[in-house]
Amino acid sequence: MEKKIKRGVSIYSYSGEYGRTMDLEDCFKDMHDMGATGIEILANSHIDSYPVLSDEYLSKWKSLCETYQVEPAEYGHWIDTRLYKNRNMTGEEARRVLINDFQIANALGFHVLRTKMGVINGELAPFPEWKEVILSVLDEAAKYDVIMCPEIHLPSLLQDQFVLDYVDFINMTGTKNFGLNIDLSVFQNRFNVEGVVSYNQDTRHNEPEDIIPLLPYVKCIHAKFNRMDDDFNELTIPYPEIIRVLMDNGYEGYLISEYEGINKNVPGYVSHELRKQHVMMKRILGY
Amino acid sequence: MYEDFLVRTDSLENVVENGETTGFKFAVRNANYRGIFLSLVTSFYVEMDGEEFPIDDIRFAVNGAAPRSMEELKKAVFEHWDMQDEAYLYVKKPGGLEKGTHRLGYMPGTIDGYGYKATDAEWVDNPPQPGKGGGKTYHVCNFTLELN
Repeated sequence: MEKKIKRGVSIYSYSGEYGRTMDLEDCFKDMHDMGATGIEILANSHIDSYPVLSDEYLSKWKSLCETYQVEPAEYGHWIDTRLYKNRNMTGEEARRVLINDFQIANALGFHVLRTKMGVINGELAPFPEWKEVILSVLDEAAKYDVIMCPEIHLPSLLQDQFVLDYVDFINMTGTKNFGLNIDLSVFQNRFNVEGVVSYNQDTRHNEPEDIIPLLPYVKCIHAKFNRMDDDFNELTIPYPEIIRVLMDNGYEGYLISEYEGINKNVPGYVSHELRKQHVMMKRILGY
Repeated sequence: MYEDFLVRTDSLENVVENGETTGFKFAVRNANYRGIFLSLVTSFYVEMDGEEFPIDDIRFAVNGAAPRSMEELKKAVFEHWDMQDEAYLYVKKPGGLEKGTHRLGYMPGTIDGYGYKATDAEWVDNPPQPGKGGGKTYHVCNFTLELN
């Protein structure tokens, strides 16, 4: 069977241990051990010399990818629109930050970017000038072969106006350098589960089939998970139904694990939860 | 989750400048899952043995540079405080601290959220007051530090 859907890990999952009981190589080892083939890093967290890329880091990075047979799957970065005192970032300043990230991502071998834009309300709508900023860097994104993907994450819904605006933007411009990252938290339908921290028990959610019309624009999926049981079931998000929809509708790309549960700073705990989640995904995928 | 490693508890020292003890310093880490640009670091709540220190008496040293005030940090928009790097907080207190055990109340104020809260926009103009929030730590954290 052709493996169109691949399993990866965002090493954000290890953020309670990273820099204390785990280093970058430990993350690669752990991923290799569970059969994950793609890595997501957060530039601001996991590149030591950020916002500069050092030769030393680049050579270590290449060697780790080769040794552990892991490919760069997604590069997380931010447009921190509140970087300046008494004013928001200008378009030119945002452009400078973005192009710097394109160059680093390209050098490290990433094509898909999770572009986190500053948001302005509880539904996580992006800052109003986002279109002008993104338009101004499309040529550079093409040059560095990267696709900027804002992440759609709880409490947003897939049909929220700003998601439709992203789709319209892609259709109007015809760009191949802007897409969507869907975080599976939008499908979370159970909140009152022991050991799960939830800020709002009444959060709205989508049904799995709601993703179908968006799939042509989806370049990456965050396999968000909160709680695994010992029979390899995730207790808050309907994984079997979601993955079935993705398989039946031809999604090609990564499911990148993002652990959002408890005990992140207990050594070994997250590694164990990630393994359980990957067993679950393997069983549903059938490979 | 980051509370337990915000402050390195064996890092407390008095600061001597030009032969005079001007205050104390201790090592802190970034209370977040990501590093941040320095201009997003806006305030610190520091209370030592019950005494609160105004933000104007606190300086922040990172990346091998001399200690900087919050006003100076505001200009550092392309310099990063990495997730793994320690910084030192320099607190002005003429004469410094006595040797022995000290109790620290500490809370960083950074505007590195991406806007879940109405306060995030407000904080562009008016940075969070020390101890009033900001970043991924939502309460004052207590540490016991030893000055040898």
